[in-house]
Amino acid sequence: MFEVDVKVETLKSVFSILTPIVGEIKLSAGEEGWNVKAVDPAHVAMVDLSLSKDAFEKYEIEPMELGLNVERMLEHLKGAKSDDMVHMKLDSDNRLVVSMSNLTLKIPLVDASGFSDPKVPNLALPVGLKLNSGELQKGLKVSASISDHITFDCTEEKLVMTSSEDLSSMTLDLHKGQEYEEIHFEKAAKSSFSLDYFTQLMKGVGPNRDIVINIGNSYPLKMEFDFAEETGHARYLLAPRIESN
Amino acid sequence: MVLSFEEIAKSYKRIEDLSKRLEMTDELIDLFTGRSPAELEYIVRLTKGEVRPAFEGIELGVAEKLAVKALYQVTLISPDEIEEKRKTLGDIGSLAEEIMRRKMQMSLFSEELTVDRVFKSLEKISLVEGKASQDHKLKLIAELLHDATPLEARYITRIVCGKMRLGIADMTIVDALSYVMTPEFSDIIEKILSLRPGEPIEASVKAISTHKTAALNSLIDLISHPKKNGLDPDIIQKVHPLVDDLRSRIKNNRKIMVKAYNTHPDLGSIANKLMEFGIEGLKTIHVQPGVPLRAMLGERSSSIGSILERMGGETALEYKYDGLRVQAHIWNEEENRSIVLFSRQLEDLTDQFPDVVDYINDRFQGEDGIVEGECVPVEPNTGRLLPFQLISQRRGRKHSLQEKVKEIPVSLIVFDCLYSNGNDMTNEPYLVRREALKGLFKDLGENIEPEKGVSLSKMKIVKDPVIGETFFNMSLEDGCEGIMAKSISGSSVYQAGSRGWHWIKYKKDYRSELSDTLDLVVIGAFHGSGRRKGRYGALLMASYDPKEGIYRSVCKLGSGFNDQHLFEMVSIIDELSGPIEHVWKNVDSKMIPDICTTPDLVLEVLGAEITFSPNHTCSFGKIKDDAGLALRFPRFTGRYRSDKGPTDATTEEEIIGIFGSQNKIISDRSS
Repeated sequence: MFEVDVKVETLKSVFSILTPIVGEIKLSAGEEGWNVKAVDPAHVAMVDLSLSKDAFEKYEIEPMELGLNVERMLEHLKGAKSDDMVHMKLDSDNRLVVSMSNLTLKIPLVDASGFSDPKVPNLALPVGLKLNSGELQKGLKVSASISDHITFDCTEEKLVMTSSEDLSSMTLDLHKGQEYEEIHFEKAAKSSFSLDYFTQLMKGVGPNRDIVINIGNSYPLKMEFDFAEETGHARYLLAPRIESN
Repeated sequence: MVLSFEEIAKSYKRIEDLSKRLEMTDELIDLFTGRSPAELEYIVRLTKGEVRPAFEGIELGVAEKLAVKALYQVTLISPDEIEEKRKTLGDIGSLAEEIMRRKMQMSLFSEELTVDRVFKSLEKISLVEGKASQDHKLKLIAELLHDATPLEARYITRIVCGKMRLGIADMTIVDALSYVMTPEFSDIIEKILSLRPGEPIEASVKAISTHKTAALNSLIDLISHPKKNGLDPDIIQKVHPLVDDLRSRIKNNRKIMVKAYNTHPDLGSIANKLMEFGIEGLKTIHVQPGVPLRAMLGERSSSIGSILERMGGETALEYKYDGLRVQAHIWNEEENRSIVLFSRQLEDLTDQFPDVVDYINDRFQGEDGIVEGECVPVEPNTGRLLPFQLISQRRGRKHSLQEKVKEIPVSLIVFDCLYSNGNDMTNEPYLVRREALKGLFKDLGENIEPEKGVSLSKMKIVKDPVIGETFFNMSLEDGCEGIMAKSISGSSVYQAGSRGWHWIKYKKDYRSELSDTLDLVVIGAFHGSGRRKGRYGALLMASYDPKEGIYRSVCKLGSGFNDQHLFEMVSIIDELSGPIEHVWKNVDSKMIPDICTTPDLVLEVLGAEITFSPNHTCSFGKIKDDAGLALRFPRFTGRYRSDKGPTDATTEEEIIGIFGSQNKIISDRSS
C-alpha cells in the first residue's frame, strides 16, 4: 500500500536536497513519514533527510522501500504548476503513478535491493552556529574565483572564511551576533573543504534559508536545516580536505 | 580470516621487482599458500589481470580516461594535474599510486578492501552493459579507489584497464600451484632434517621455506655432487631418495595440472578445484564442448626422408592450409544448437565468421562435437585457395561485416576431431579421429566446394619419400604453405597444448634462404627519419625463452613494411609502449630502442640466416662466449600473427635448432 497526496513544492524540495549527493536513492516510507540516507560514491558527502507525514495531505502507507531516480523525478515534476497537489501511488505492475492536475506519469521503480544503508557517523563538533544560507553562498561564490577549496576558521567572536592560491586570496568575516548566532562554542575550530562539493551542497540547501552548521578541527562539517514549513529536516555531512601544509 | 587486498598488492609489488622466473614462482607460492578455494581462484584470476577466462569473451579493458576520472572524484586533484603527471609516468598504475598518495580529500568513512570485494566489484564492472554503463562503471571504480591505499590503487587501475602485465606466464602459475598442492612437502623436509645430514644440506633444506623452487634446485645440485661438496656418502644415500620422492611428487602433480589446463584452459577454476578437492579433483575435468582446448602443435623438419625415419617408415601427410586455425564447438542446449568458434589464442571468433557458423549448421550431422580446421579464403567459383592475408581483413571487424563476408568468402577445411557424439576423442589415435570427423559432417570430401563451405583436409599415407615429395609439391601448387606429417601409430593421440613428434610440419619458402619464417615479438621501436619521419624506422624483435619466461632480442626489423603497415604501427606501438621498468620486465636486451613496448605483438619475419652477434641477447653465451644469435637481413612478410600470443613466438631453442641445421647444410655442401 502506497498512496499519498503532497504539494509539488514539497516534493521538489526533497529531490533538490538529494540530487547533489546521488543519482538514485532508496526511499524508506514508514508509518511516521519518509527517510532517505545516501552517500556519494567517493564517500565525501552524505545526506540524511526526513519528511514527516504531516507534510502530506493524504498518507496511506505500509512501510516499504522504493528505488527512485532523483534527477528524473525532478524532470517529471517540471510538468506541474507551483501550487499543484501531487497524487502518487503504486499500480499493480509496481510502477509509481504520479498525477498532478491533468497530467499523469507512470514510472518504473529502480531496483534498490543492492543499495547500501550508510551509517550516519556520530560527530562531536566543538562549534555550532546558526546563519542564513546566503552568507555562506557569498563566500563560496567569490572563493571559487580564487581556488578550489575554502577554509572555515572559527574563533570565539567570528567565523572567517578564507581561500587563497598563489598570490590571490579572499577573506570573508562573519561576526557573532551579527551575521550569525552562536549555538555552542567549546573551542576554536578550523577545517577546509572542497568548493566543488560545498557548492553542490549549497544548491541543495537553496537561497535564503536558516541553517545550522557545526565545525570541527580538520573534521567533517555538519549542516542542518528544515524545509517544507518545518515538516522536513535535512542533514548534510561533508568530509574535509587534507591540509597540504 | 578475511584476506585483505593490501596483502596481495604487496606481493604483486615484490613480483614487479623480480625478473627471474624461479623467484616469481617462489613469491607466488607464498601468495597461494593457505587460501580458501574461492580466494585462490580470485587471486589467480587477478594475478592474470582478468575476472573470467579469456575464452568467455568477458573483458575489463576500461578506458584509462575513465580511471582518471575516478581518480579525480576520489582525490579531487584536478584533471589537468593528473593529465600532466600521466605524461611523465605513462603507466596507469604508477599514476594512480602517485595521485592517491597526494590525495587531498578525506572521506566520511572507509573500509579495508578485501580480495573478495575487489574481485566481485571488478566482475560487476566487466558485466555492466547498456546506455548508462560508463557512469555505472565510473561509480564502481570510484567506490573501490575510495577505500584503496595507494598501492592497492596501483593494481586496481591496472586490472580495470586490462593492463595488469605482471609478466607471469600461465606455466609459472602452474609451477607455483604444483608446489602448493604437494602437501607431503613439509613432512619430507622434516624427515630429511631428522637425519641430521650435516651443515650444507641442513642450510639448503632450511632455505626451502623461503626460497622454495630455487632452494630445492640447489639442494638437488648439492647432493648430486657429494664428493665435490664433501658430503658423507651414507647420509646422501638416505637423503637422496627423499629428495627424489619430493621432486617426483611435485613433477607428477604438475603433469596432472598441465593436462587439466590444456583441456580446460581456465586456471581460476582449476585453482578452485585444487583447493576444494586436491589433485584428485582435477581428474573430473574433461573435454567439454564450449570450453576450448589448447591446440596441439607440430615439430618441424627439413626433409621428407627424416620425417619418414621418425615416423617409423610410414606416415600420413596432410596439406597444411594457410589460414586461420579454428576450433569449432557444436552442442545442444535446451533443444537449441550452439556453435562457437575459437582461435588458436582461445578467443571467441564466432561473431566474425557468421558464414562459417552457417556452413557448419548446415552440414553438421552429429549430436555434438569439437572439430579443428583451417579457415581459408577461397575463390568463390573455383574453390581455389587465396592468400592468407585476405582473411586478416575479416578479423576484429565490427562494422560492415556483412559486406566483408561477401567480399572475402571463406571455407572451413576440417582436419581433426576432439569430441564426437558425447565422447572425448583426444585419446584416440589419429586415423580413428579422422574417421570420426568424416562421420560428423554430411557428404564431406577433400575437394573444396565453396558453396558447401566445409571440406576435409587433403591426406595421403606414404612410405616412399619420392611420393611424399610429390605430394608436398602438389600442396604448394594448390596454394598451401606445406604439409603436416601425422603419425598413424596407435599412440598418435591428440596432445592438447603441446608440441610433439606425432605431428611434423614441413614447409618451404623458396624465396628465402631460411627454410621457414620466424614469428618474432616486437619489444621496441626506433624513430624513423627521412621518408619515415614521424613513424618508426625499425622495430626491435625478440624470440621467447619459455624456460625462464624471458624475451631476448634477435634482430632489428626495418624492411618489408609498406605505407599502410608504417601507419598502423604508430598506434599499435603507442598502445603497447610504457616505461622500461614496467614493460620490459621479461625482456633481456642490450639494445635500448627509443620506445620500449610490452612483448605482445607477433610478426612473421623472413631472414637470410642466423649468425653470431655481440649485440643481440638471444642464446647469448650459450653457443659462443660473448655472442648471441641474430637473424640476418630480416624482412617483415606483411603478416601480423594476431593468432599467436607472445609466448607462442619462435623460441630460443628453435633458433638454436635452425642455426645448427643451417650449419649442417653448409658442412654437408662443403663435404
